[in-house]
Amino acid sequence: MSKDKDQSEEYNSSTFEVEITKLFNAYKPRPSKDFFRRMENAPWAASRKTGSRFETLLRRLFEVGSPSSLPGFRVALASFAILLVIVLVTLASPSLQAVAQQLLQFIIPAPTDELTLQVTVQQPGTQEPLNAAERYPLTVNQAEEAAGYPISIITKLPQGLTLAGASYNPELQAVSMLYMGAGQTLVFTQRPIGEINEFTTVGASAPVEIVSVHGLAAEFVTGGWIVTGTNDRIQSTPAPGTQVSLGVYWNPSLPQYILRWQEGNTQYEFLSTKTAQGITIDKDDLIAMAESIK
Amino acid sequence: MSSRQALLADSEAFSQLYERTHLIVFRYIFSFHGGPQQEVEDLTADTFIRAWKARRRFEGDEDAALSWLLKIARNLVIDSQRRTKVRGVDVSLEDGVLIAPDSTPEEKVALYEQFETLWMAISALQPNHREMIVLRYVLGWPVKRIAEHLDMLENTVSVNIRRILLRMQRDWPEK
Repeated sequence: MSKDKDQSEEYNSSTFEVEITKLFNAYKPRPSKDFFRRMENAPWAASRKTGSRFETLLRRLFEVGSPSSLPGFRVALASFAILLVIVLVTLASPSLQAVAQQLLQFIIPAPTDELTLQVTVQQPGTQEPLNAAERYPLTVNQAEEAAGYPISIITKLPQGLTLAGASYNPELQAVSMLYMGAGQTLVFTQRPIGEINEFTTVGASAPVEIVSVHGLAAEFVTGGWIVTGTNDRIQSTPAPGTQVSLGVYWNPSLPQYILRWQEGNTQYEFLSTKTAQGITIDKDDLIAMAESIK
Repeated sequence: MSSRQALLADSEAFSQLYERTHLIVFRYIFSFHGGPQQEVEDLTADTFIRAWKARRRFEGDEDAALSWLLKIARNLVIDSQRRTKVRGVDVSLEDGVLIAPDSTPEEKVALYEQFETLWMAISALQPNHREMIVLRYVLGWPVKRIAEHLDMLENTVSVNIRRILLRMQRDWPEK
């Protein structure tokens, strides 16, 4: 930054302000992990602990009833929500988690391919599916601002896939970007590795393939959880307090792919779902996209 | 209890306020105080603890709640600096500065140098001037909102910021 003595003070001041603003825009300090750990015990945080997070996830679970032109779309979306719900179940079992972590870094097998979840609806949700653009109202810059850390973006996208929006989840400190088009949705999530050990859970029989992203081990899975027997109740958006029993099973042939890896202090995940006729994003495409992020 | 008071009446509402504002409050304190990080985190935590204890006395909307938090933070920062009698800068720039991933090492060094200069300049300002700069450029508030927050005339804030920038520019080292 320099001063130009030949120009007027007023002009210099404007230029200086622009340069100062640029500097400040690059300044995004954030608290340490210790701070977040400490604030988890704050008096107002009691309502945000497991129950609240579980409630949030359940809310998502009941937001999958939007109609779709492709059969299976609903269950594919539900499977994503189930992944998140089962994450909590898994986290509640330290021994299972410990065993699973010996095998895999990011993806944990459930005990079986079929599970029954007893859930209580805390609040009815909207009818927006998880990969609907309405759920990603932010620009990448806004999401980055909310997150307070630099966001990586995919620089090489398959033809027809475009960025639809972004969102920020303060609980997980995760930024997600939704890409849509050509019969595909792709949710790209990234978050700093912190105190919350968030894992993706897959069926017991699901093969988790170890692949390479920039020479780093990444985990790739095909398939998703399907909700059985309670879709009607899901679609009707049950009232708060309703007890719902959800049977789910792992379907390895769902057109859904998960790629998870870790680079530096950041964890990344791609979740691609085929929603209509069009292109197919396969494992190689996901790896190519993963290697293009900057 | 009025509906306005109800904004922060329960822990869930306060928790949501915390989620939405803790980074803003942290950055405000970091910039206004100057570090070190541990002290800034202590002050940020104290700000929310004090607000929590006083939440039933709060009246206002979301914007007012943030202003209220920043006023608590401001008082804590000033008290802290009075106690220590030190007004230094210990900002860990490498943690807080966003740098383009394709930056060269030379570009990174140049950016850090500019930041060091900037923080030295900010730390040399009077607290009320420093706060204006933090609100305007770190939090990105418009002058009108700063004026409301500081209970000043908009024109006064505008003129003050202009003068502060001119002074910073005058003292900015040549390349």
